[in-house]
Amino acid sequence: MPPSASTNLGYTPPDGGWGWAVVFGSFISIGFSYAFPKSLTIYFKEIQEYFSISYSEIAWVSSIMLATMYAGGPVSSVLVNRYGSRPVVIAGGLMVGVAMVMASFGTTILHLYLCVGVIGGFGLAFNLQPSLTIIGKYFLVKRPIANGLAMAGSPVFLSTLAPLNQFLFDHFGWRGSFLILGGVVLNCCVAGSLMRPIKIKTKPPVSKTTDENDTAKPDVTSQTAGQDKSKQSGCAAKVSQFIDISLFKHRGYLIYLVGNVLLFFGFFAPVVFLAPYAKHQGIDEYSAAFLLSIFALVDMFARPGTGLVANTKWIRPKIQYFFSFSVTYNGLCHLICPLLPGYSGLVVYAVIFGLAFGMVCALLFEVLMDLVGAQRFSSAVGLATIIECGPVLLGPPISGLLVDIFMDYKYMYYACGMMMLAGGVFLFIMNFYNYRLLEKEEKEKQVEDRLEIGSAKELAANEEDKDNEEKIRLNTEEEVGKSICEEP
Amino acid sequence: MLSYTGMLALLLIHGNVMLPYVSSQNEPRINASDQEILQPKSGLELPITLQCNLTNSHSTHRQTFWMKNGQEISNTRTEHKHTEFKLSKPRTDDSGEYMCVYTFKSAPNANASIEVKAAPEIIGHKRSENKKEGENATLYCKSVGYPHPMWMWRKKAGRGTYIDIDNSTGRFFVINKDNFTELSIIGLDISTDPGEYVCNATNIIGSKESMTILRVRSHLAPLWPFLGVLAEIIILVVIIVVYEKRKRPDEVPDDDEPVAPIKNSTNNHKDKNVRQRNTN
Repeated sequence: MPPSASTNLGYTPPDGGWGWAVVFGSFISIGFSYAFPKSLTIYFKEIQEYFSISYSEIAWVSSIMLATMYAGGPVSSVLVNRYGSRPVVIAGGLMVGVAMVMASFGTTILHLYLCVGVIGGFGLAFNLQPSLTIIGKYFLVKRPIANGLAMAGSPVFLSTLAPLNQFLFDHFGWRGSFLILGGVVLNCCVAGSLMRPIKIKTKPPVSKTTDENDTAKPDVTSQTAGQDKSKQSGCAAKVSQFIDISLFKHRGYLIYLVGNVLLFFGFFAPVVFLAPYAKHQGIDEYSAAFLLSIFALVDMFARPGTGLVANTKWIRPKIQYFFSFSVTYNGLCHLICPLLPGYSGLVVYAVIFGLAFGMVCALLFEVLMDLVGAQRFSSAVGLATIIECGPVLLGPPISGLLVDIFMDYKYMYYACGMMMLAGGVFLFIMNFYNYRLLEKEEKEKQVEDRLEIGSAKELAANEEDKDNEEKIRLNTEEEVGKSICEEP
Repeated sequence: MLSYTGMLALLLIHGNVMLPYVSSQNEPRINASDQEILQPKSGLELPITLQCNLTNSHSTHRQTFWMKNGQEISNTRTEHKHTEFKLSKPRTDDSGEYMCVYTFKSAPNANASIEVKAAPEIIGHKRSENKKEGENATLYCKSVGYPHPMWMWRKKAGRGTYIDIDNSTGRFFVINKDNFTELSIIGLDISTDPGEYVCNATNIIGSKESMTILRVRSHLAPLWPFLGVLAEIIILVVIIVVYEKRKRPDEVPDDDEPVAPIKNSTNNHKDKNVRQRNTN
């Protein structure tokens, strides 16, 4: 059985029905969040010429968008804890839409930084966290499948947005395209309207006992919503009303964070450098682009597939091990990449890397839900993304630096492979330790429960014995008294 | 017995008569091959050899080299009097004015030129140009081929006919250089300017044309797709909200129980399930 954290929902998640519509909504939101910043790079050349700026200045737009998307995690978590997923996603969609429309009238590059980068980034952050959170609310038994399906949005949208952007660019130029994209991105609002909040009718006594320790309880009926029973005082109390800081004392969460920081250093760089590496080997542009398509295609199917596998009864209880395995497998892929010769070698690498990438992405948030439970998930994911922000943004430039220093891509692949191996091995060991400790704690708890029950029974038995003794004494006293009285 | 003056006159006449021979003896004579006409597209790409032979020279000959269009071709310097330049697979850009140059110890260089002509081929042009109305558009064509062609710009006017560009509005400017031509249109007009523009390169051997499509976008062009997408989104949101409101009287999101008493009993069952799960 998974650790007890995941069952503290206070209600039974539907695990189906409208849940699948919610998965579809999350699919759209997550797809836009991850694919949108990457697909905008098609316009960079023309914008660069229009504003007469250097390549690094235009690349900042994408970096700022990604950075704000990750940094906006905690803000998003606070809002989700307060208002629930649906309003936040709709607000996020509106923000990105308005940002793109404003950007289409931009006159300076600073205008673009602000609109597309900052406002757009926040809007996408408001799309990402709530979509993940609401899956945890709607699913428990089938949660890995739901997560895998929702995360598949990213490659699907990337494959669709890239040609669409090219078409828009040819016909409308960058300004017209930004205007139309602003409209297209408003589909996130449609996705948000699908995310119906769960309304549970729970009886007051039951609800009181189950949400004693929870500071995050959205979408439950008005009796319990907003009335947090946190017993701390001062600043900590105020902050923990918005976001759950006590997560930092959670052992599993800390393991997850450290493992993630290690793995994100080497996670995105190989994707970024796949096409340049292929061209460096002498492969023409179209074949290099085709490699990326193969990668995206495999990724698309690997994610739901991993969800299905993770849902089986053999893997689900030990899902942390599965995650560590996929991270280690990822690292091994990168280590053997420089050894694979020629174009066919690169195709093989694209396939196995696509599989590895999909596995890690599908499990990334599922294991977090498994560790901290659906209640604390939104705070957890917000804090996790802001800490992951660093390695995600630094990873590709550092890898680029390695390529520039050594003038060879293989050192970059070795470095990425080593980082991911280190992360995977760390997660393996620490999760082994964590599972052992959790089992020990479970056993102790069970023993305590039994002792309580046992001692209660003993007490009851003792009391019964005492009562019986009393009765016997009383009887014997009576008899003695009678016999005394009856003597002449 | 010739008189003194008679002898002087004879010498002078002899000298005068001899003068052309003397001067022609001083001038080097070069036999050069004839001009060539390249036909690279006909499939008969026969190799072409240009030859020069120095027949007589008074001064010591030092070196020979070839030049093309006024620039020396590398690796052609020899010390022979007979020199050849071979074009094994001649293409259009091999055409030009070739010169074999002879240098002497104490005399100026001598040269002979051989023309290699070819019909022009257009190597650079844009297939399409998309601009907004009111902006300026620049269409260009680059060619190879010698002699340098005459350029002409025309616009296609339906079913294979061409008309010359009407510059009554004074917005069209043409710049012609040897192998390059540029047509600039300022202040694009969305009603008259869009269409297919053809640049024509003609020289004594042949002519070639290529086409560029000019599209003029109106300021409001992206507005229609934008409004279309907006309409689609509003319709979808309305459908979803209406569907939800119609289910709301039933109240329970995961069971479809319309009757109240039964609903309560299922809720009770759920609570029982919750309690059971917690104790597990």
